[in-house]
Amino acid sequence: MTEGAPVYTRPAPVLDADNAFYWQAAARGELRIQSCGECGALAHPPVPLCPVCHSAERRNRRVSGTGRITSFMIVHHPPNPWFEMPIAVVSVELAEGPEVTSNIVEIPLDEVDIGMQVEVLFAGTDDPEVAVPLFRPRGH
Amino acid sequence: MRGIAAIAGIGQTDFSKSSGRSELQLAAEASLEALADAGLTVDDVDGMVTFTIDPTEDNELMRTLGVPQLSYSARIPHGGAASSPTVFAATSAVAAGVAKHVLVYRALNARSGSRFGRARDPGSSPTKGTGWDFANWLAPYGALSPAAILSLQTLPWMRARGLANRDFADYIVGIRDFAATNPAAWFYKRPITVEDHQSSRWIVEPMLRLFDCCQETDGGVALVVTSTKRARDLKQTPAVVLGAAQGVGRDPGSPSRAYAMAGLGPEDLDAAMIYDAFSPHVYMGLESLGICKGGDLKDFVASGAIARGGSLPVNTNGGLIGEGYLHGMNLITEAVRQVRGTAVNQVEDAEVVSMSSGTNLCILGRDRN
Repeated sequence: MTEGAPVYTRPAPVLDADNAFYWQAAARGELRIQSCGECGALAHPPVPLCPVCHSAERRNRRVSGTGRITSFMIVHHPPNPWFEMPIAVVSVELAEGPEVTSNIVEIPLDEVDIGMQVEVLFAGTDDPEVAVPLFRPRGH
Repeated sequence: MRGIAAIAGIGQTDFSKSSGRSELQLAAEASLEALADAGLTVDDVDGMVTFTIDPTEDNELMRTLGVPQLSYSARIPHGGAASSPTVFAATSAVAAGVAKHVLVYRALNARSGSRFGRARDPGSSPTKGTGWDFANWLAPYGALSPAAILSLQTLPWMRARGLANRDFADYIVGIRDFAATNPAAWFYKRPITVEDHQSSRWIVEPMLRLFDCCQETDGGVALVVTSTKRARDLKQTPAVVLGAAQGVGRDPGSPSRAYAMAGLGPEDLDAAMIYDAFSPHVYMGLESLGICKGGDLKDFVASGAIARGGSLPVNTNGGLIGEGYLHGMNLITEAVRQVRGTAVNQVEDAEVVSMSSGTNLCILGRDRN
């Protein structure tokens, strides 16, 4: 790293055959969740078979992008090259049911709380083909 | 399997921030100490058990020690949750008759080597098969250290039980008091107050302050598990495995299986060793082991019940937070010392002592025969 203020660049997750669609959809500005081509059940994190009916007919569908914070934590320490700390990490229950991990942004950290209604937005990573869903208070 | 096997020998190296030697050497030193403690030799070893994430291969340890042959070797998953079920695996092997003397080992340079508590590089740290697979869903959001990776679901659990970070100070002051009188502990002679705890900086808010987090430690620990019948002929008072169970899943059921095997309940425990990488784990353990109901946790711990002189002392060596983070294994050696009556912070007449990591539980006790 060069001298001066650090330039924080969000790291891409490790992509594999099961999860790639989620992160690649985010790069197109879409929140997509694995859905079963047979029974329609949603599954997250993605898995190779439908955990309800065991069908291998994997699809994914775009969801509303709205949800509710079910848990959060403000990560202060240790420092790292990728994020300016502290940062708010949240668990969001989507309107369609599945829970996803994310950050909440566009809100002071001391106002984050369980139960808040949120909506999705997206942020890039150090891989131009990979982005991540983030959340902000709904109706901002 | 009740009472079939026992821990006959224990060994541990010095715990430090810079061991100056390889993890293989630490594993070998602890193993030789455990064998000597039991009165056995390397020729007796025919089984080995360690963690999936331990860097020391069984065959390298065999070559180092001169162990001629193994008939059983196993690695236990899920990070530090593997500690208690190492005893379960070794006991199962002995009970099945496939091994006679199982050497359990774990050694790590968690401070001087790859720092355990650091923020991991998301791209270069493969998580598959390490028990950290889910961490890939947290890394791109800045949860890169164990403290963060393990804490996202903690807050609703705490709120449902009326717990706040201030309450954890009651646990921490108690184990720092134990550590203060344990020469093996990192925090030997360094007790703290509630105010000290509350003024330590946030690591993960509003759950963990600095003093809620375990020590990054260099060191090695080893155990020898054999049949209780055999252990009676060896050097030490056997710490008999009265009950042991491993459990994976949303409702793992393991504490009740271990109690059923032992024919005991939580009320029969004289001391409890509960894996405490971070303070909340102890509260979760007290609840899942049936020692205390969720809504009573705050008052139970604040009353001094699990501190020195309490009705059920917990983590009498200072715990992983006060003594050192040997990934749970130093809580097993402490449980054995309590059963033998040789602990530095000995609980009077301790006959039944538990060691748990997550919801995995083993119950050790004195030999009744």
